[in-house]
Parts: sequence; structure tokens; C-alpha cells
Amino acid sequence: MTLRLKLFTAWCLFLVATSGVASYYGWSLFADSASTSSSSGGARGPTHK
Amino acid sequence: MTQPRAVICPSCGGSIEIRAAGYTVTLGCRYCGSVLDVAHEDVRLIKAYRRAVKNFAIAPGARGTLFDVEWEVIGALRRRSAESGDWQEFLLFNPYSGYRWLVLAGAEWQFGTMLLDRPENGPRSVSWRGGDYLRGDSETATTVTVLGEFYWKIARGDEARATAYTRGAEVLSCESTADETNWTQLIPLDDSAVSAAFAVERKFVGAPQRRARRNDTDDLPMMFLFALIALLAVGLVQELVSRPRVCTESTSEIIVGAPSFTTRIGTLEVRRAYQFVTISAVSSNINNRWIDLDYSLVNRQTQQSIDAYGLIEYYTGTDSDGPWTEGSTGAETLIASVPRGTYDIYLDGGAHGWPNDPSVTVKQVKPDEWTVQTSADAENPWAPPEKVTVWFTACTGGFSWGMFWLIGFLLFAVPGAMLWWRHREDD
Repeated sequence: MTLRLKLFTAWCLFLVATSGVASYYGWSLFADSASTSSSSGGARGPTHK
Repeated sequence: MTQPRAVICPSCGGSIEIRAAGYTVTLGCRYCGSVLDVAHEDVRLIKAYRRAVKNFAIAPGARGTLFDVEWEVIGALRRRSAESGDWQEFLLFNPYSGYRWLVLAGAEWQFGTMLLDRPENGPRSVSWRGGDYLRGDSETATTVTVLGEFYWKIARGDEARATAYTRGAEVLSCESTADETNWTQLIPLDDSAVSAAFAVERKFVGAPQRRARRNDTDDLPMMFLFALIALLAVGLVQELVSRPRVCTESTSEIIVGAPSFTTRIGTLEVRRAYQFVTISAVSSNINNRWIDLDYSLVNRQTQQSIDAYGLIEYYTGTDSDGPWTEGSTGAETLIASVPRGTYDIYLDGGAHGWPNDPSVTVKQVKPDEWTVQTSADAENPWAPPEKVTVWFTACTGGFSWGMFWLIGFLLFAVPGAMLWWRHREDD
């Protein structure tokens, strides 16, 4: 196993661990929580063509 | 001796000097890296591609003295074979002595002289000038990068069958293509002798390039495999760690075009310090409508509210390309970092039509009672209002697909960038 592969393995483990911690604390960069705005009020419709 | 000739690169307009004018057929522009056919008066552009001189141990144009002859590096090649990995070849030129080769394979330098007299073939060896050279393995050598000028037509991707015949440290290299066979005598050169003669790039001094390249080739697939395994682990960890999963369900009917209304979906208890809450909404009878879904998780103890929103929109139609659909009949809303506690989940929802809302009339018959009538149907103004049914499922726990794909990107970015860099070097 090369040093580069070892470093990459450490990077993979770090990301897996980060994912686990984030899930445990229910944290996500992509949550739909709306602290300031609401989805209602605007007109919508298809964007097809 | 030939007089140097200058040509203008048709790609970048740079002026390039041909040192071996009259012999040189192919010339690489030192400014933009384009490969030029200088055998024609109008200097044709064969192929333009980026090329970095820094990837070569010696830059074309460098001069140095070897064996008491001053040589100028007029061309450089990077070649590759499956068996040996990468190596570099430099074409040396002296107006009186002609052409020679300088080869860097691994950390070893060799000085090459083309043979004018062919060796005599034996069954497992060749004989040349009284010496026997044992036949080694054959391999297909592919030209990866071309830089500088050459006395024959050459391009990236050119292949030749190469066989090495060895006698001690001396090698006779036989390279065959469909058109010709060339023999070259290669003798080892001391690293210090080459460094003293030419300005060798520091990173190539004593560096086992071939071995390094082989390692590149070897561990890159492993890195992709590790990234895939890690991504699967991320998915599994997210699914397992975000538990326990407790759900509540309800159904609501929402009148299209009516003002939004508020209803309680159910109650959830978050048992951990923080947890995801996922609310799924699915409608079966929605078409050319959208439903705004504003959720509020109200903590029973503190009365603090956590707000989130969702949207269901589904449209269909027909145009010149045929029928089309857009949107989805369901929506999943992920609420992050919900603290421990018991929450009532409220919905403030409203459904709307596209392109226009159906015309409805809302009348208040009692302080807490309203009637809604549709007046869009001219034949039956008392027709019941259009309703869409939405099924809600709210659960503790959840799976953040955004985080999953972000981590996937971070995992594959490393080997992906290395793969890109390798091909960039090849270009």
C-alpha cells in the first residue's frame, strides 16, 4: 500500500466518520428548514419550454 | 551544415527557428505546443494540443556536451508501454555528427546511436560487430507526447513494436513499424554526466520516473474502489445512525384555489439530543396543480416552532414533441437538528391551479364555519369545489441525499482529479 493510498484511505475514513457524526446530530447542509421564508405566496407553473 | 530557418506558427503566430532545416519534417511550436508540418512551404498545422515542457527532464533547445560533442536537444518524446510504464526520449542534433538519442527510463539514462549496419539475427540473440546480444521481451511502445522537431513524421498515438537485446549494460533496441525497422545502440550514461551536460529538471534528477508511473497506474483503481466502498459506508452509516424511526400519519383534503388552511398532522417525539425529522407528502389526484406546504414543528414544552417548507407540483401537457410531464406528485421535507422533545406538527397548506386558479367563493356561515363553492363551471355553479388529497407521513430520522452526494463528490474528487491530471499530462 503506497503512502498516497494510505492518505486517501484516511480521507475516506474521515468523511465516513464526519457523515456519521452529522447524521447522529441530525445536521445537514441540505435541509429544508425555513427560518425566514415560506414557500407559499408565489405563482408557479411548469418550466417546460 | 544547414542554415537555421524561421517559420511562423499558424496557431499562435510565434516565430520558431528550425535548427535542422532541410531535415526536419515535424516541428512542435514552443509557444503554444501546436504540432506543425514544416515539410510544406505554407507550414501546415497538424494538430494543436497543450503540452508542458516541465513534464520533460530536459527542455528542447537545451545544449550540452556529451562525448566531447556539443548536442542540442531538438525534440522530446514521452512514450509508454504496458510492461515498462513511461519513459522519455530526447533527440539530440549536431550539424557535424547528426542525430543521437538520450533516453530516460526510470532513473537511468542511456545514450543512443542509430545503427547503419544491421545486426545478424539468431534464434534467441543477434550478433553485431562481434558481440552477441540476448533477446529480451518485446513490447508495444506508444508515443504519448511530442515536443520539438523530428526528422520523420510523428504524432501522438504512434505505435512501434520494440524488442531489447542486451549484452551486459549495453542494449540494442529494435523498433518496428509497418513501414520500417530501426536499430539503436543504447549505452548507459551516468546521471551526473547528463546533469552536468544539460539543465535537467530537478524533479527528474535521480527520480525513478518509471516506477512512480507504475505506482500511479497501480493504486488509482484501488482509490476508486476505496471511494466506492466509503460511499456505500456513508449511506449505511446515515441510515443506521439517524435512527430511531418513529412515524405519524394523516390525510388532508385541500381545496384548489381556496385560501390556505392550517391543520395538525400529528405528534412526534424526538428522543435523542438532536435528530432529523422527515415529512413525506404524496398526492394521487394532482394534475396541473401545485400545493404549498408550510410545516411547523411546535415543541409542546417550550412552544418554540421549527419551520420548514415543501412543495408538490405536477404538470402535464402536449406540445410539438408530444406529451410531457413535469414535477412530482410527492415531496419529502427534511428538517435538520430538531432538539429532543415532543412536537405537534402543523401544516399550513394551499393548493393552486395552473395556468389559473379555479374561481371559488368562500362564505362564512358561522364564526368558525366556512363554505366554499366553485363558480368556474358555468352550467353547474353549485358543483363541489375541486380537492386534492394529500397523505402525510412524518418520521424521526432521515436520509440527507444532499450530504450523501456531497461526500460522494469529495470522495471521488481525489482519484478523479488524479485521473484528469494524468490525461492532461498526456495531452
